[in-house]
Amino acid sequence: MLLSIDRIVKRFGAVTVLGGVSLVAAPAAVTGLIGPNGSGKTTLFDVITGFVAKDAGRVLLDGVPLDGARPHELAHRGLIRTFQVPRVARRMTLLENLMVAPARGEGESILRLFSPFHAQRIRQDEHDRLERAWRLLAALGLERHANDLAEVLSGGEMKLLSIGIALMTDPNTLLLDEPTAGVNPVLIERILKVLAAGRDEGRTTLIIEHNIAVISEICDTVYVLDVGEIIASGSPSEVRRDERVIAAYLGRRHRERKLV
Amino acid sequence: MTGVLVEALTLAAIYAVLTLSLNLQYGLTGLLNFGVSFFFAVGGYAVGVVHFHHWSPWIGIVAAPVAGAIAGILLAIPTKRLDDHYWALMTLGVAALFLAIMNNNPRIAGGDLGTYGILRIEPARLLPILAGVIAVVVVAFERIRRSQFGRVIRVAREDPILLAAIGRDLFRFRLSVLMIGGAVAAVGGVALAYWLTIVAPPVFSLDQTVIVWAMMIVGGRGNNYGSLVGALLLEAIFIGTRFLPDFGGLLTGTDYALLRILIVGASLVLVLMVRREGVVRESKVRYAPLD
Repeated sequence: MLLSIDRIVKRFGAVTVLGGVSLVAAPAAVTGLIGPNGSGKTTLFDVITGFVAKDAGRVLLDGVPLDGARPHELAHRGLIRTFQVPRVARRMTLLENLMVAPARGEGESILRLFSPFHAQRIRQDEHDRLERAWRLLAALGLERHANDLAEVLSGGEMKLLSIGIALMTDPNTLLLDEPTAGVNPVLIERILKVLAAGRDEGRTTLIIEHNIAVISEICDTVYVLDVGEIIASGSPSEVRRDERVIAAYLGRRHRERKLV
Repeated sequence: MTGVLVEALTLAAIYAVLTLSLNLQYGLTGLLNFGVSFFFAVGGYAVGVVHFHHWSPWIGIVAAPVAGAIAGILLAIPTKRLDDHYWALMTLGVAALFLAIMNNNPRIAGGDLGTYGILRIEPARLLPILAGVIAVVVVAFERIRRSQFGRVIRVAREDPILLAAIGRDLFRFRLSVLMIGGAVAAVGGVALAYWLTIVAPPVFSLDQTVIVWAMMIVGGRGNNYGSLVGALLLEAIFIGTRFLPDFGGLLTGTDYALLRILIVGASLVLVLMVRREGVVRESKVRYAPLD
């Protein structure tokens, strides 16, 4: 799905958080969104996914405007996001956190649950969910916690789980808010592998990220947001050389230390 | 003595039905429903209205769960607009409003005097019926808890924003839960009407909500068996305090009434202090690895 953001404006009172932001996230590619703290990255995610109402502009998915749709409707259409502070169901096991995510299914209707005509299909649906959940837990390296409550996880592990929940829905468009923050390097490798696999299957991926190494590794295109406006875009290496990006985000020492 | 025991067990069973209903709503779905006594009253009044107008008792028995489900819809609609805590206050208001309507309209079911002389179903017969009802409810609720529907409502409890983010409409699930909860609690109201033989406003006072909440929390929120334990435990305290010695006339009847409330309050505080999850913890739904 081609995600196009067209001149989005968002104000909180007198503060303009997004001043006409436009960007395009292409299918079968990973698009990065970077920028200093408070530049409006998460607010842009909130607007795209319907959690926050915009003041102007349009969001289009394959050319179809998504105006006024509520978060659960957008998610049901395959537009899935994660949150900067990971959201997981703390008093449910990891397997349950993953199993619950895939759309609808037979056992989700209370009437079908008690209908003998649907028993077979419900069993099949449960089996499929469980199988996918185990596979994904293995890919994320969280197998040993499969039957533990999510509340026992560390912050980084919760981040992984929240990405897993998003992946279980098999989204056509995936928005990740700082997927690698607080995650150790080995697990970052795992996340990147999973994201690359999704990209190769044609998924549209948009990530907010502060780790420049991660951006360079996975992103095809990067947009730089500063005080609610896109100040640069292009390939990771182009953006890294941009004087305005260095001034607003990376800092002078970035070049001297040759971070990447 | 056996008589007292059977009576006490019957009352415990009636409360167990209500506690199971509340556990589905709060323990599993996270709905702060302080209007449990409203569902309870709707069931009781289905019997009361039918008795008052001399209709066939079966109409009341059949209508009660339907009325309870409709009451559930009524409470569900405002969840769309109200924040959780305002909604909780509203449920309290709806329960009070329902009693006020019954209290002030003598033509519905006798007003403040209520309606008397409902044919009593003796505990020896009522208790087995209630045991059957409880068994069906526990089996059904356990099935719900372990199902995909059960997972979704528990996500609704844990994090409604996460629920929306994975594409589920919170309202749809809250509506289902309140309809089921309303229908089940109304069955409890029917049982109480046939046990007490009276349907009047004070029978379904807000105190009932407090008792049912205490039972659910003491028993263990989120655990259907905990609801049974909580109902039995608090009812045992209620009955047990009746047999306390009067210390040579030092304690009067009113003192006992107060003492019992004190003990229930103390047990609630004790549980919250030493075992917040209740006597029986919420149990995990485990899955074996696939081969």
